[in-house]
Amino acid sequence: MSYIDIKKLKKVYKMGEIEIKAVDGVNFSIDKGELVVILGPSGAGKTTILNILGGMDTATSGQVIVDGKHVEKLSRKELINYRRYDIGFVFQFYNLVQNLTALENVELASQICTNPLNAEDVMKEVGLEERKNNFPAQLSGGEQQRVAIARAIAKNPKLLLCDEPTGALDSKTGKSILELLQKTARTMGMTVIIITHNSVIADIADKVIQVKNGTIAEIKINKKPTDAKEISW
Amino acid sequence: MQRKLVGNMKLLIKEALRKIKLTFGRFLSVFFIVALGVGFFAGIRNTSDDMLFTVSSYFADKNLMDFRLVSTLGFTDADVEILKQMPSINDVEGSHYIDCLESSKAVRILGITNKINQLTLVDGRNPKNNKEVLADATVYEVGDELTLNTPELKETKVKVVGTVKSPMYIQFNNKGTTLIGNGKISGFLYTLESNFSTNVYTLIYLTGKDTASLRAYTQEYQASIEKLETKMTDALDQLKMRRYNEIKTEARQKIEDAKQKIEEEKEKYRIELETVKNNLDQTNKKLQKTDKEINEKEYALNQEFKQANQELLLAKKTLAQKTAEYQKNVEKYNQYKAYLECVEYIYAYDHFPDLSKMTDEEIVFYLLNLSEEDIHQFLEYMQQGDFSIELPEIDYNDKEAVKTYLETVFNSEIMQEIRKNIDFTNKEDLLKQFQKLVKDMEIKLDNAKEEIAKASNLLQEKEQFLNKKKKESQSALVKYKKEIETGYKQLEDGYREYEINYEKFEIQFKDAYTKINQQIKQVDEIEKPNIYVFTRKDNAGYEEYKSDTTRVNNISKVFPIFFLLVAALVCLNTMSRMVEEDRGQMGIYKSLGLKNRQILFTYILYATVATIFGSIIGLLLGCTILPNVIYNIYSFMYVLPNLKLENNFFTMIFTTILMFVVTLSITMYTALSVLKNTPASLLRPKAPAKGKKVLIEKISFIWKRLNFSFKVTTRNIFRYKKRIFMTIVGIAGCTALTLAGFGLKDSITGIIKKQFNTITKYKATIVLDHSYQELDKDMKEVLENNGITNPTLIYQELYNYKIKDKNNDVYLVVPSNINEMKQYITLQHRKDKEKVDFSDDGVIITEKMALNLNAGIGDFITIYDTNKKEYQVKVKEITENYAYNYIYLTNTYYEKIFDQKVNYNMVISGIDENKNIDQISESLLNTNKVLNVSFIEDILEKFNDMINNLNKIVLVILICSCLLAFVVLYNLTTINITERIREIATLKVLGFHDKEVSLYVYRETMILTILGALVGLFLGIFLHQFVITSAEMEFIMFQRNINSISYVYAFLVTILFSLIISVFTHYKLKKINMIEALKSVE
Repeated sequence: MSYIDIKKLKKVYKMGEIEIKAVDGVNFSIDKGELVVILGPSGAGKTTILNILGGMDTATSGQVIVDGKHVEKLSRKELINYRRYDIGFVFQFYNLVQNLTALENVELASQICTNPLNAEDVMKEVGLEERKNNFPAQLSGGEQQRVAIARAIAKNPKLLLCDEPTGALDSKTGKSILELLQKTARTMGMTVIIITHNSVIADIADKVIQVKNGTIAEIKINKKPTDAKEISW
Repeated sequence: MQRKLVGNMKLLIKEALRKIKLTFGRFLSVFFIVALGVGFFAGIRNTSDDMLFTVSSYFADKNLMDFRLVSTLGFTDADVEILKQMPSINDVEGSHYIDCLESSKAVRILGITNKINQLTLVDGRNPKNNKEVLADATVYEVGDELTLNTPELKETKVKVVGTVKSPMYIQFNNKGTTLIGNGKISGFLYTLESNFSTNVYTLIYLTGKDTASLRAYTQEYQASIEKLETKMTDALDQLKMRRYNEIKTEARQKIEDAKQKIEEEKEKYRIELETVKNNLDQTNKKLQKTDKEINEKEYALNQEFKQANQELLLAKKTLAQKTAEYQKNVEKYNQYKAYLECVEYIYAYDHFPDLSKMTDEEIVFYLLNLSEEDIHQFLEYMQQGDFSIELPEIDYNDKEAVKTYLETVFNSEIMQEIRKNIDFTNKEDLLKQFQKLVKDMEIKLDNAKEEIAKASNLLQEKEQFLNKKKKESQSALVKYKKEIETGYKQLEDGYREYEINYEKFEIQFKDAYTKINQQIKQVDEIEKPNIYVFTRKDNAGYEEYKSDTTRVNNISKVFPIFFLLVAALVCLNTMSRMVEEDRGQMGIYKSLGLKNRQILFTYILYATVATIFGSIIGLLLGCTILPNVIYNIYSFMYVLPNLKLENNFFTMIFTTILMFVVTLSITMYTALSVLKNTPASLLRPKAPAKGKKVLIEKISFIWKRLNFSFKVTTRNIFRYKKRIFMTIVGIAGCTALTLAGFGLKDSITGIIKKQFNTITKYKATIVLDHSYQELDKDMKEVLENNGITNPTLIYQELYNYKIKDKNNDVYLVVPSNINEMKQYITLQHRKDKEKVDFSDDGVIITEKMALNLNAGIGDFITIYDTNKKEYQVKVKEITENYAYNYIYLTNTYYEKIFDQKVNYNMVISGIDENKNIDQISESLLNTNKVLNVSFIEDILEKFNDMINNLNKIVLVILICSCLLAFVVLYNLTTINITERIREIATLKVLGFHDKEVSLYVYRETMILTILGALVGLFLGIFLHQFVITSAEMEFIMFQRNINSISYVYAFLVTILFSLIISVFTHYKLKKINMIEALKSVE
């Protein structure tokens, strides 16, 4: 039994008579501490999988088992708790609370968790000690994303889910972000899942899951994942 | 190009419609708030106009009189004709009315007129004869049988065949006052004109030509009436003269007739009396004659009788003489006989000697020497024998005595007489002589006896006859005399009666003449009649209705504006929000090359549809519901037809356009400011509002101590400046409205208690039938006996003062005794409760009047009496008062101002609590020393009614305020959520529970709401003050303060709605789909 098991996952949208199969029978598993990249073109269904995995969306059918927990069976409230304690999410467009400083953004997340990491420490970890009292508007894109990551990490979740984290950043900044994510996976033992359409990024992953048209095209295992430092696009 | 445009047009329209569909909630909220604001505004504004329109239409329909003339001498058809000649008069009708009691209630009975004052039949039918009447539908039912206690109707036992509404009586429980019963008319009845006993009209109704087209209660109508009244003065003078002369002539004629009749009667009587007297005199004469005759007869008879008597007497005398003689002779005879018997004895006795041979002395001697035995024998013989001689009682043994006796016998006359007739010398014949003598004597005697007997008989007969005759004539005389006596007595009575009758006759005619003279005097004293002109203002309930509509109007001037403002504000907010959100969309269009105006089109359409349709619906609902609701509140108190909506299009259109213009301009302004940007920047997501350090943060001392949530909340509060402003203003507005609503209720209800418990403490006001300088013992007794306690005399008269050329009432009051009056009327400053004193160089006026005139202590104000004469008085003090306006002054100052002494005409007093006020009123009016009694109780009731209505209206306003609060809060909250949807979604992603998410949002709202409510409470005080001063009538001063509890209520109401909204918000937040919300702009 892997840490994360996805079995026959399906997500179907019904709009009147039209059925859209966003995810059409997906199976894969992820081990603890793995850095996984889900690769695929736009509309492939990767975000959908991530959303279901992250407890933000529900599966139409199939099983999603995370650390023994059947996520697909969780009630609304249980899902909220799942998101609260077990998941850390990083968005493409940061989604920081504009009215809070960087540190406060992190605190926002940490103060609702049972076993959070110290916000200041996490800030340090992400290298934003100096900027902790700045508002998001006063931070660059990369810094904002770091704050977002800090926020996610501070929760001390089981899973760190990142949806196109570098999508809005230039390659240099993006790289630093990826470095951070890799470091987190390695040093903190957190299971990190990154979604991207950028195949270059896939090299840093331990496992690459290729998604096409709502199904798994290929699952590749990198025995020797590249350091984020060394990739470039 | 055209096709493109058209195509674009279609697209844009589609876009607009879809937009409406997509953001239907928002559309609805705009729609709804527009409807509410516009509907409320126009609705309330129209209400008072509708109310007036309804009533004035009713009056026009039923041809309500413009004038009612009453004359102290009544009217006739001639008067009606004169008035008909006036060109500015339309209809003229003479009619009757009387007030009377019907089972101890006072009712007014009016004649059914033809054209003016038409009645509305509620039930039943019209009367066909005098026994049938129409009755007040609020009091009677068809079939009721009534007995009317009045001599002025032909039929007083009547039956109600129909019940009606009359345009003269529009108020439910106010039918006017009267002088009978308890002073209040309980209901009206209409009867056929023919049922009134008199032909003289009690009143004349008039309608004017010009006034027919004017609406009741308007300035134009009033001006027209005043003009008409002036025009009528000449006609009225004419009427007065005519009637005056008519009456005088009639009266004088009547007096002449009466006089003549009296004369005739007098003559008749006089003749009668004379006849009687003559008869009496004649009878008298007759009696006298008869009397005289009888007397004469009597005298004659008497004379006759006298004579007869005399004759009889004579005869009797003669007879008596004869009888006496006879008796004498009889005696003589008896003696002779006795002697004879003696002689015969002697002769027979043989013992005796022959006396013939003896001389007398010898005889005597012999006798004397008779032996005792012989004497005894002699005596025995004499005694035994039937002798006529009585033997004397002598002792016959006494010889001397015997001798004396014998001597006496011998010497007696008889003896001497016998010796004369008998020759004693011839003794032998002595016996024979003697015997013969005696025999002769006997014979003579017998003859004499016979004669005497005869004569006696005759005499007796005569006497008897005479007596009989006497008796007869006596009784006849007595009879006649008695007759005459009776006759005289009767005559006496007759004369006496005649005297009495004559006296009576004299008195009677003396009185009659006096009366005639009095009447002549009265007729001479007849004054020219007074004609009183009453207008509609004098109808019971007419002015009250106007006051009520004015109140509504006053409220409508203020409250709805607020509504409209808040509605506009919310509208603005919503539309600008929408425009802002559509940046992206607008960017797309711009980048596609659409012109600004084309892009604007959508928003214009959206705004137009929302406001226009919203306004229409609002107007439709508001202008029908609100007037009806408010009218219905009043219809309980008035007897009126159903509400007629006037639909003042001006207000409606104006409001709609206003709303439309405002909304549209802001929409366009916002849209244009957005469109100023380049397409590119529009296409980029809008930079979210920057975070900034809040002021409090700078005070690190406090900031450090705040917990995280609080920090977040604080920052969030200050993040959207516009939102702070909007929320606080919106909430404040609603709270202010609510507070003003509650406060209005407080101010209104408070005055009753204040006025009638602390200021006006008297229980009754009595108008006396004439003026007094002081209450004398009699009057005090009269009052006390009829349930009045502790009366004090005052002078009270109605004066006017002007507010902007409009006349308003004020009562001038002069107490006869200031200390007594102070028991009943409290004079004090409102604010510091300091007591106010009278002074002789100025007046005390009530506060509202001071406010109305903007007068302070020391200022001079002008008042006018009923003849429009001006007086200037100095204000010395201002006293607290809430109902009606008064001026109080001392009699000294009164005299100074009005140049005459005070004539105290009223009494204020307490009442006997054990008595019923109707009883008191009735018994007082019955004393005829009192013209009118009114009780505080009744006034209180009137006020309570008014206040109840006002409260209901306040309730309506409060409900609308609450609705408004609800909508505002909802709107603000929704907008707030939409603005921060990404943020909220992020929180959800982070794993915030629904409650936590809601609290996160709502904490700010709550704080802003509380702040807004506090500001609103503050604003509400001013709004309340403003509304109070606008909604007040000029004779009422509402309490200016709001009860503390009202603040709490207003606050709680706002908070309550806030909480309700928060529940709603919670569900909305719950529904937010994180994924959708966080979908990045790709």
